[in-house]
Amino acid sequence: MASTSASLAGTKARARVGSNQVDPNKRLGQIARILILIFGCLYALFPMVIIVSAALDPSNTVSSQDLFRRVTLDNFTQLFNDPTRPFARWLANSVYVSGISTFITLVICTFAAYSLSRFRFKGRRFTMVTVLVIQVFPNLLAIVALYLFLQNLGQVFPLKEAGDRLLADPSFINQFLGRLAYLFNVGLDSHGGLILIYCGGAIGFNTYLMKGYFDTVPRDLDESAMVDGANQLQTFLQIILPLVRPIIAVIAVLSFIGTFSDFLLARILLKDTEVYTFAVGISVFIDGQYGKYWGLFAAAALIGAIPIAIMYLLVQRQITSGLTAGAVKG
Amino acid sequence: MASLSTRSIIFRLVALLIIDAFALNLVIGIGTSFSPLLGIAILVGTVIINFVYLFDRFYVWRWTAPGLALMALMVVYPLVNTVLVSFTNYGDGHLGNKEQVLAELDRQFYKPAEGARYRAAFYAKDATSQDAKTFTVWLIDANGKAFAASLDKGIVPEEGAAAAFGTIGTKNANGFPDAIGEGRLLNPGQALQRVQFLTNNIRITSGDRQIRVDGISAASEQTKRFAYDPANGTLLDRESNITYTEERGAFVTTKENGEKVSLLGFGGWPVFIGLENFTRAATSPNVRGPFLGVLLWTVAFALGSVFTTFALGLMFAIVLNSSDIPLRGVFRTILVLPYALPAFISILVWRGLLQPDGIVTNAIQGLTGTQPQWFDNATLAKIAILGVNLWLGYPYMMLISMGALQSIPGDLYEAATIDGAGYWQQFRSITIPLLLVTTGPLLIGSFAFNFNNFAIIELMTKGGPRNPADVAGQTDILISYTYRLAFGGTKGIDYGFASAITIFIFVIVAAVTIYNNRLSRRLETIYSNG
Repeated sequence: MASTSASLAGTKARARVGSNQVDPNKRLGQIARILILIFGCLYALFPMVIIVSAALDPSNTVSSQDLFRRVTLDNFTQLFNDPTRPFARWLANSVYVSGISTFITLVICTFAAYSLSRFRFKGRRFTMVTVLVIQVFPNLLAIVALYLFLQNLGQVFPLKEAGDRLLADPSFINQFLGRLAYLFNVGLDSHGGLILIYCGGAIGFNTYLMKGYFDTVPRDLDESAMVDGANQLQTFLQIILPLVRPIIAVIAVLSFIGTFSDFLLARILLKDTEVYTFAVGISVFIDGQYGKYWGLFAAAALIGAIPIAIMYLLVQRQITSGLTAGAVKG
Repeated sequence: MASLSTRSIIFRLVALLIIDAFALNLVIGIGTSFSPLLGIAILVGTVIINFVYLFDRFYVWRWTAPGLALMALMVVYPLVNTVLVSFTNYGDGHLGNKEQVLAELDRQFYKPAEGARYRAAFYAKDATSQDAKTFTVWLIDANGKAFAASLDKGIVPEEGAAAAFGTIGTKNANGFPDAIGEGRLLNPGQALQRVQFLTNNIRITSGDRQIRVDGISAASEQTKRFAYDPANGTLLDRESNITYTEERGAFVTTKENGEKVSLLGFGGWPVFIGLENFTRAATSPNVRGPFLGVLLWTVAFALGSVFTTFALGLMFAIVLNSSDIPLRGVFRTILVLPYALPAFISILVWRGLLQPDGIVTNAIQGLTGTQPQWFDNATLAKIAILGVNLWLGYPYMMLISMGALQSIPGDLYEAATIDGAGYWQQFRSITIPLLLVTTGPLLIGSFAFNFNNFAIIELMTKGGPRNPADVAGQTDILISYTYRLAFGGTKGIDYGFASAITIFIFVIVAAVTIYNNRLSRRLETIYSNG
């Protein structure tokens, strides 16, 4: 007992000394910490520096030991001038698929989330629990069933074949109808099918997220709007929706990034070079079947990744603030 | 107001009409060719949707109906289907359906040794026609009895030929008429030119018999090869005189030595086999080994990823949280960058760096003198996967740790310092426990995510290196293993077993999630009490 109190007094004394003087240990600690951060940044940046270097180096490898030896834009010009690998097309496909999926997801989710937040009805709890349970399973798990389902959807609505037939005729109306048929095709190898799967997979989680946010908007607002003669739909669209713009923005960005970065579903469901998305397309550059074009891959990756990275950094704070806890991308 | 509601009703009716038209098409198409169960489900769903949008009683459901319908179709149905398939032997040899297989068997004919042989001659209005129906054949059997035959009209004895085919012309020395109806007798030159077309296309079936053309002047009678007896489920192959019995969705016969052989070339159909797919993973020795290996590596990979990313992320978070760091924002942003890039790009780049001629491999070779074979050696491949996943995953851990660290009250550390606790002791007994409380659910979430992290396995190693005899590669995790069983290619397709493993994954994910929800609810009560 006596010895404990003695040693306690000793440490207290030492602690006091430490706070009064500039402790060389503390200085050393600061330098160590900064070194850790510098090494961490080198580690984080290393592959990115390699991508940038490879994108600018026309030699198309990632084995070169001296980075930035030659700097040209050859890879970028070649990317947009190779009809066998229509990179611009892939990029446009990805923006289309991600954009439409995001839009559909948002529309469906905001309506559903609003009703789950505001209305009290029989079956509400059950619906919420069911949705919560279902969204736990990534739809990649049921890829076989989805694959066969899309295959059959394509046979029931043979819009690809119809589109091919119509597009063979150069008349304006048939060209238009042909494109329309392509647009609504939901079979294998179609953007429509992919969009359906993405939306189906995204709805559960995002409805939940959005419902939580609606709950934070006071119900008095709805009630006063209704008293003023607005109907439920008007209240929702004109009063409440503008108030939840932040969460809509976050969900839009996350859902866009998620679909834009999806590789596996698109890889399994899309076979034709013309319908490839960005992610599937650029993997062609390095899949070895036609040789490995690391320079082209790196240039393409930069074009696709930089906007995504910027979008991500913009919403990053919301992600960590717990608003979207669990919204792990990938 | 009245006009508004009228307009709304008209709009709803038109929209429903369009939806119903599509849905009905889908019900018929899917229900008849693909899955009757899904067809019925879509029908029921469509009826419900109509009720919801037609009657104001169900007003509240109008807001959620589109979302629920889409989820039912694209998420619930695939899950239910996976469960159903896991109880069947759907896969190679059982990919068709029974009707298709029986219909295909019914189309098979063979030439029995005692089958009738005919002398034959061909008639057509246009000898160059590509339509096999425009040809007529005159057949004379060994006894001199004659028949006229065509694809449309079947086989008609000479007596009835005039009634069926029109005027029969005068017969030549060989007994063939010079015309049948409008068709002229093909001369040997014409017949020779068309012989390939005729042998391929003229197959005139009548009951169990089929007439086939053997050459420019010969035809023979073929008999149906298979006789199916639906009552006993047996199939007689008349050609080989073997009786097959229906067993597990295929026709099987037992040879004299007891070996079971199935009828090849016609496939089979999936049937329910109970829990066999599930028990196989535990009992069958050549499935159990690979399955256990995959399971162990899946757990090791998920745990290892969570542990390493959390350790590194926490280290950066602690360092960044100290007040004496200049340019904190810059360091923070750079350290978060790996998380901001699309993961598939980063993984592919890392794969390139680890290739035999990649920078990392070259650098290690320069340092140690040996070239690491990241993709040929199972242990190195596993290290590479964990290493790349560390780079991908530490920023998330860093971000959540930074938030959690800030929520730990500073006076706890002050009190500990006063009590004489050193840095490591404070770290061990204050930081880690409190951090685990707040980040626990997120760590479990990260475990569940990595448990199903198909992307990193598929993009880094495709499950390899692999033993050519095994379906599972040495770095395959459960979800990539199911993918290989279903789409694998080299070792055949086994949807049934793949689905059973998927169910196994479902159960694990569900258990982890339930545990996690309980945990976060308990934490919520802790917080609300504190």
